[in-house]
Amino acid sequence: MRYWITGCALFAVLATSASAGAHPSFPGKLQERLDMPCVPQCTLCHVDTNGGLGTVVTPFGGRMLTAIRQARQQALPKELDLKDSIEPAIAGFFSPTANSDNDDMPDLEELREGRNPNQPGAGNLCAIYGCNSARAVRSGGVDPWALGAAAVALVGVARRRKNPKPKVTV
Amino acid sequence: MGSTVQIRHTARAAGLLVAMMLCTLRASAYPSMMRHGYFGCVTCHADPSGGSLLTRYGRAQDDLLLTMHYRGAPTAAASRPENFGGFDEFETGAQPTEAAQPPVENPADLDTTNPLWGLLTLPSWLLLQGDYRHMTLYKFGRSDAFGTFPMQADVSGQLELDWFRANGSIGLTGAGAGSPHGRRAQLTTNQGRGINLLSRTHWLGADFGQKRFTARAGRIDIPFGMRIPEHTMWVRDATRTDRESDQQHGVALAYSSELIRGEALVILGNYQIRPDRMRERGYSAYAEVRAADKIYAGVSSLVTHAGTDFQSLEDDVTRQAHGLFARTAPVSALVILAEGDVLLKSRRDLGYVGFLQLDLALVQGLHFGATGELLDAGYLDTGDPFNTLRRIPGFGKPRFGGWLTVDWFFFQQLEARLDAVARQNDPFTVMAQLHILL
Repeated sequence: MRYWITGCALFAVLATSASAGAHPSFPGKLQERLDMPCVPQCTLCHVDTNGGLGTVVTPFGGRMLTAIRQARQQALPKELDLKDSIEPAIAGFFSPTANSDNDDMPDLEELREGRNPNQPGAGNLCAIYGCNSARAVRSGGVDPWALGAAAVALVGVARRRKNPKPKVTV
Repeated sequence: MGSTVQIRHTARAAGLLVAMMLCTLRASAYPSMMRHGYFGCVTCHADPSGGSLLTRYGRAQDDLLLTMHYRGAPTAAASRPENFGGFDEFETGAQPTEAAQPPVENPADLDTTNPLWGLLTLPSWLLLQGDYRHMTLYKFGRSDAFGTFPMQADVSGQLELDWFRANGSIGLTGAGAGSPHGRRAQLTTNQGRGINLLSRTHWLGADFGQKRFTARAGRIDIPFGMRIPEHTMWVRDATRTDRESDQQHGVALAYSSELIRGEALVILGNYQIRPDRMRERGYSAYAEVRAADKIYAGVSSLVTHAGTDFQSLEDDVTRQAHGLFARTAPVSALVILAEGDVLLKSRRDLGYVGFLQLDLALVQGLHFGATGELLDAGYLDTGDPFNTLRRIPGFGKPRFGGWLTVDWFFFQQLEARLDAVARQNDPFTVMAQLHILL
């Protein structure tokens, strides 16, 4: 009975604990702001792809977190919503010379080049998704070639169902 | 002394976890079909290890055994002998019991062995299925708390000519930039926001040995652990073995009999990701045995290596997961699923992930459930004493989570599901899901 009550209490604590989450729009905003060649993974800053404010573990993530906090403090008494905080943080509080991995290129430059600021040297930051990276696009829209091919295939199947080939008898 | 305290703490944590799960109940995961006497997956699914695309017989059982029947009668059309040939057709070892009931007429009389409630009649060598899942969620304490989006919009199919099979799926995803979901299965190359075509699975296969063996080549679901539908459950997420978009290209051999089933996949890499150094290569395998009546136990193993880990962005990463899983139905209304895996990754301490799920179905079609989760992905040793990372739950410390679920199969091929998910370091989330199986 004691475990039962304790278990329910634990679930209640888990259920009602306040969110400490970062914002899922951060990677996209970072890409737009710095004109990066890809949208970075959450693991640029966080321990895994689920994100969350309590999960920032990388050197670059630590610097960015500090810049975001400063940007939000600076905005007081007006409140700066978390989701809107990354752009002012980069613009005003993230040092352009900051170099988290102590290599030959500052963090923001590395991001613009698609390099990993947590890893000395170039590192790898960009996974390109899809079947043909040569025609990879940065954002927006759908690959017209693939959609066109799918549409033609669907129309073909539909026409064939409507007008089946006559059976040839000898 | 220290170890005694540690054991006491561990025992207390385990007790809490169990108690937390006993507070309420948990909903249907399809491995829970074991309550009806099913050991293997091949009779109901096109994939020998289970998965989305249902066989004609699987569609019938979906209607007979999963759907709520308000007048107490299973549907007729689904179970007509002419629509499926009965259990003698299956030489691969499932042990249907309740499923073997004689057909009873249903007022709706819909043919659920064919797509679109029988509106589309397919030849026997062709399977076709549409899956639409719509998710609406609310994350407490977040400025963007509310979200509603199509989680799955796929069409899958299989051509079967004697021993030869060609299987594939195609769908649409609107997964946003930076999302860990959907993108790894993309066919089109939009890297930002917007819609992409995706294909989760596509493979060619051959059955042999009285259909007990299936050899496949293509993009295949990873054979590892319990194949549950909750793709964000930590056991699937941390081992990267979910059916959402974790599939890999490779060559697999599956075996299924009355006593043992299993599959091994040689992973050649996900060719829907570039550059090549971000592709993981290695193997994944599982085997499950029928230990006793309605007690099944299995073992899984996975080892991969990548030049650069596409998620953590670290170089030269070898990733391993090894574990045990078990299912049992002590009474037909209750199914218990459990899995525990150890996680090993380059430069990280030993990690672990596990879950325990209770699925209670007192009335056919309505499942209640509870799931407890535990995760420590393994602390990352930076090798630099001046740059040590903070230990947080899930990263050098245990992280706990719990799910409460109601799953209602309220009409033929329609499912409504409600989940309340509480996880450390995550906002409390309520998710409502509608699944239409076409």
